[in-house]
Amino acid sequence: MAMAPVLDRTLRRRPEDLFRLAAEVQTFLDRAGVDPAVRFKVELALEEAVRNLQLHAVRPRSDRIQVRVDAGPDRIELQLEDDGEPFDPRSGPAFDPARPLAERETGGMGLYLLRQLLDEIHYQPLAEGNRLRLVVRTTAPMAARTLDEPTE
Amino acid sequence: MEIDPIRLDHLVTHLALSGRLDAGGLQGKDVKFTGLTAARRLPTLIDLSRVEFIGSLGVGMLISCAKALQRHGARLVLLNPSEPVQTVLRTLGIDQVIPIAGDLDEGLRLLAA
Repeated sequence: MAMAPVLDRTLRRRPEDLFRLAAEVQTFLDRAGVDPAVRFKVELALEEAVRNLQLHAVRPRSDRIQVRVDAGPDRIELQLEDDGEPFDPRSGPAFDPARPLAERETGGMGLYLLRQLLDEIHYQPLAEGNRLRLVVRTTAPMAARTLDEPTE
Repeated sequence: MEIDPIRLDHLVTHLALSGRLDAGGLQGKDVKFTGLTAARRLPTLIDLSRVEFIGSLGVGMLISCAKALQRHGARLVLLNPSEPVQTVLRTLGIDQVIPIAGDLDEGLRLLAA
């Protein structure tokens, strides 16, 4: 049986590393034949989750973030590990999409998008850091979910 | 992200964005975008039909533009986003604070409303 395509990378908490990885993941998803709507969600997950770790990790022990993209037959899984203080993004800062324009702030939108648009979010605190698994099912249509509920 | 001016006169700003509105795509482009939109303080129409990807950073750029225009009594209208881009905008409630038009005529009507 053929192995599912996997992309494993280590990046630093620097913007240019995310730019390079984002381009690499686009090529990886193209080669894996991933549907464009699924691909959009995986790219969104990568952008928002990595930027969150790069910008907001608390007291990380190193500059490194481990990223693994696993293209299974019915799901794409993005796994991120870092060595910052424990932070569960499922309980991140609240974002209110009903606020009027004048009161809109730009913070909190990235994690809100992950909670609303991804099919599964799994968080595991490690002995020294965090492991986050973000799942997009390849059979699910791309549509905004109405409930902001963590899956674990 | 590429920025293509379509109409820049004394009445309206109309431009088209293309490519990726993410951290890599916006790198160094936000100053040019602000100069062509918020700084002109005119009703502004932004065509999103050729935008392939948008993340929270790109949405934040649009919100900042709309807020700056609003402070000067002008409006921002978004034109014809693709389905996934529209999903991101609707999920964040952007369609409730920045009108989204399906074609140019509707966009110009919304600008004048």
